[in-house]
Amino acid sequence: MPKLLTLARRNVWRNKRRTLITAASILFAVFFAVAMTSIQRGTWGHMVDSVVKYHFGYIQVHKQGFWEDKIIDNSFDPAEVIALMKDVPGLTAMVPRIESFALASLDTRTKGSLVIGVSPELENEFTGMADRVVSGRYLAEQDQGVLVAEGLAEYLDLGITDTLVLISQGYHGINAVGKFPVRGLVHMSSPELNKQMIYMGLEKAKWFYGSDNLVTSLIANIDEAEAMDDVLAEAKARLDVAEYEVMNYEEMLPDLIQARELDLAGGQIILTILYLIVSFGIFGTLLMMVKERQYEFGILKAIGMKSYQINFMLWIETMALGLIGCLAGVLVAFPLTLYFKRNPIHLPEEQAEAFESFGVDPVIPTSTDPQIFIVQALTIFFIISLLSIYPIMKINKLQPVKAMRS
Amino acid sequence: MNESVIEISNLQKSYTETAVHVHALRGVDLSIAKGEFTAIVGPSGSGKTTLLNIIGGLDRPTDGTVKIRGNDISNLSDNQLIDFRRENIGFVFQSYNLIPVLTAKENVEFVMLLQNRSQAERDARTLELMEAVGLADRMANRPSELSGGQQQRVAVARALAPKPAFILADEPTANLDSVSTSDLLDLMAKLNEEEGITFVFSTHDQRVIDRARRVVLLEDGKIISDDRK
Amino acid sequence: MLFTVAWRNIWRSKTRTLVVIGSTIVGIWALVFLLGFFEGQVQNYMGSVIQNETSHLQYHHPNFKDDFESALVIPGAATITETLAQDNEVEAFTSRVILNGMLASSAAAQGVMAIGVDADAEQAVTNLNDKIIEGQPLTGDKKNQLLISQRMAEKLKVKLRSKVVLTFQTAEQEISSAALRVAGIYKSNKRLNDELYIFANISDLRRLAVLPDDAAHEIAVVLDDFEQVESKTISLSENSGEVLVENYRQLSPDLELMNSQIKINMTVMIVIFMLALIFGIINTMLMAVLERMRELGMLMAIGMNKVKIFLMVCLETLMISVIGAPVGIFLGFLTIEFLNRKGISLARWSSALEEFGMSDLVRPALALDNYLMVALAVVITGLLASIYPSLKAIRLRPVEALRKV
Repeated sequence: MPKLLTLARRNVWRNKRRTLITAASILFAVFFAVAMTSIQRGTWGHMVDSVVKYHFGYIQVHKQGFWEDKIIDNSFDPAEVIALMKDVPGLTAMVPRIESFALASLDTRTKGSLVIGVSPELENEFTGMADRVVSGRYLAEQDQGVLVAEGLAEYLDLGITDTLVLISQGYHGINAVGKFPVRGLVHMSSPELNKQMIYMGLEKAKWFYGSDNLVTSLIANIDEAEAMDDVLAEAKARLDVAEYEVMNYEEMLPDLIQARELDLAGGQIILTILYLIVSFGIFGTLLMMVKERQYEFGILKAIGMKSYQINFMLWIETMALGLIGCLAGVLVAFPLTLYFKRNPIHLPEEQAEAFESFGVDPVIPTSTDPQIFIVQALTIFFIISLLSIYPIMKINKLQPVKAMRS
Repeated sequence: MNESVIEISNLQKSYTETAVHVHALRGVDLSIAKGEFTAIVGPSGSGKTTLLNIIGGLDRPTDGTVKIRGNDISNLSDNQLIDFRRENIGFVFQSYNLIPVLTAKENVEFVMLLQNRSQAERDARTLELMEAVGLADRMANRPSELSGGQQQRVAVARALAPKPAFILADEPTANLDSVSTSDLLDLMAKLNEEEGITFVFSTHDQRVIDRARRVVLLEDGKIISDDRK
Repeated sequence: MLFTVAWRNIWRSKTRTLVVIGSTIVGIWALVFLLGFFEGQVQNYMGSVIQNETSHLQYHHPNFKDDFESALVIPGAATITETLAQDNEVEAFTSRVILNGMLASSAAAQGVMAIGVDADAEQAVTNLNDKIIEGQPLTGDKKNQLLISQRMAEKLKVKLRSKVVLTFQTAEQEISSAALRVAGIYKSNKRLNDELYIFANISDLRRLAVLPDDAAHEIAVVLDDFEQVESKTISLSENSGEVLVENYRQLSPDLELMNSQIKINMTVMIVIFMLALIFGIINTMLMAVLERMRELGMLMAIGMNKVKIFLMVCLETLMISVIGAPVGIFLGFLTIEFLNRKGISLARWSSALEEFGMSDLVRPALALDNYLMVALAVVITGLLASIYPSLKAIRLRPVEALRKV
């Protein structure tokens, strides 16, 4: 058996040029596949992160029916839930929020906005918002002022010395009106959120909406994404489903998830076709390899080598070819994906606007998930094994005398 | 005296082959006249192959001169040599003479096509040549459909097409059985006697040597004997 | 003669040639189809945007779109509409009053853009009435009628005949409110818009916003001939002084960018696919040259010069590259035609698509010049692929080739 491997190894290098060209085609396909998948995953990962990590969270608890009907009347007293969810493994904290709509107005400008009453410390632990304050300062514990998202501030022509007027409809229909000094401006990486958000202290929000002790949502602050399913299961077990609803981000953002699936599916199709084309090339090479070595195989069979041994040797040679191409492709792609992960491409002004209008942050990050690379290797492995069937059949049928005459 | 077709003077050829320095030809003088039927023989290492490559314009000497039809070809470039060969030298190789994808007729007229001769001219001369080698009925066949001997005869026809100074036949009978060999030699002898075509052979085949009127023997890069019969 | 020789040469190894041709057919077929798919999506989106949002062109006060300030009406709107009415290149037009504000029901409140329209004119331009799924279109007989989207009705928990309150800023820069009654519920194909736009009678909004009788913030125009849009924009612009006239391209920059983005994508795809094909072609031709070394030596010996040999190999490469192309293109064309009639269902992702106003039924389509571009790409690929094998063929010296055992 070791002899077979030696033979195989030397045979691969017999026709250096052909080996290299075939390996190059595999390199190309693998490189492109890795690059494209990495960019896709990276972009979607970033999109999902932007909304999940920095706003929605992986899991939210609401009063049953709130998500369908996001009105302030669908709020609840968080005490019970917080107590029930104590020491669920993987759960760091339950972060309370009051979320509702309000009309924000400064001088002559008005815009609809999303108001979020938060506990400044807990919220910051969860989303790290304090770091994204671009001017002014973050909210203090019992702050009377608000944080405004950059995009909204720009629209209203708002600065940190201004006072914002908010008008809304409060709990049980009362009129909610108030004046709020602007403490700081904050950057949200989701362009949509960046145009809408206003943050205020939880207590202040309760005052504004007249909602006593009630909150609209509890965000589960999970330390690791992998823990999401477990925490979700725990929550569903512990909380009464008639009173509360527990949702993960996929349920809360089905459109985002769908869009991601659509995009990834499209990418897969393109990759499949690409690999199909490359397969033709590999098949051609295999054919050539078998054809030009008819004589040699004839001799091998004549001196007693079995078909399956020749097949195995050929298979190893082809696998080696595939492996070389694949490794090369990965080796070229990996440093690039790593580099762009740390330094994502920022799109130029023109395109940035278009991206933002579709709610996408105009950066192109990449993903270095090992799965991407492994999948390519497996694909090549599978393709080569499949293509080897034809040459194997030819070799099995080979008759030494005939072969040596050609 | 007959005009000299090939005039070689003090031919030297050395080359380096994987760290070994080889003096293939160490001063060869040779003159071949029109109408000769000459065999060049010699064991391996004698420089016979090298000499023939240079006569055939396939290689250039390190020193000395080679004149064909009075033209010094020792310093022509690769491209110039190709053009010269086309007009002046006919080749019959041991094998791989013909283009496999062309018919016999197309093979014979190929060189004339390269010379941009007209369709009429080509057709006429091809027919003439194929008749001369006795294969006028096989014009539409591809080489794979012809026997070894027939292929060699088509090669002769092809070689004659541009009216070359001489035909260089490199082991033309090596792959043939005795009947085909003698048929081929008969043809070549006939062309030589009746048309005055000059033939220069490189051969180990005794049958060819026997029929040659001049035998030049090479050893260690020099001519050691030159017998005329 | 070179053609004949080249052509016959490529069929020396039938299987090998067929593998390359096969890869070309499959690759081109897939490429053409993908291009058609993208193009179909773009056309679909563009048609939708023009139909429902921008029309062919629109008039605005130059600063209106900055903040949607109610005071910034189109100067001389009345004159403009008169001129448009007599312009026979104009198929239809409509005037609108637009207010940015908040809509509240007893249950909830929502930021909105209230569009005041003349129901008939609006229908002619955007088919607004066709989108109504419940209730009635806006008629002139009752005051303060409102059309809201199904989505908004759900959010505000209202239905037909419910009362809602619109809060907005008047032309005198004061905040005002008015009660409106839901007369009809509509559903458009772009959810993003449904969550924002409500429609009322232009006369009502003019009155509420304290605007003169003929005031308009926006005039949307549809032309008879789509091809004329660009030139018409310019000619109307020249006659309107400081009023801003923009066509759909300028109004919807994301459309323009989608267009150019798709074009880039398509070009990239062509390059990628051609590169994938080129390896196979080079490998095959290289093999074909290397196994003919003796014959090539013979050819050089009998006097075929290097240029001709280079051309011969070049031709062979071009031929094997190009044969598959027409077949692949034709198959792609057939696929596109068939799927264009049938439509490709993206129903699985319809929710996400609807958000942006993209249909979940894609009808692939491809303009002629794209087919030509693909054909050209194949030829270029063949030419590029031929360089290496052709160079290899002429680099050899006849001596070496002939003496190879």
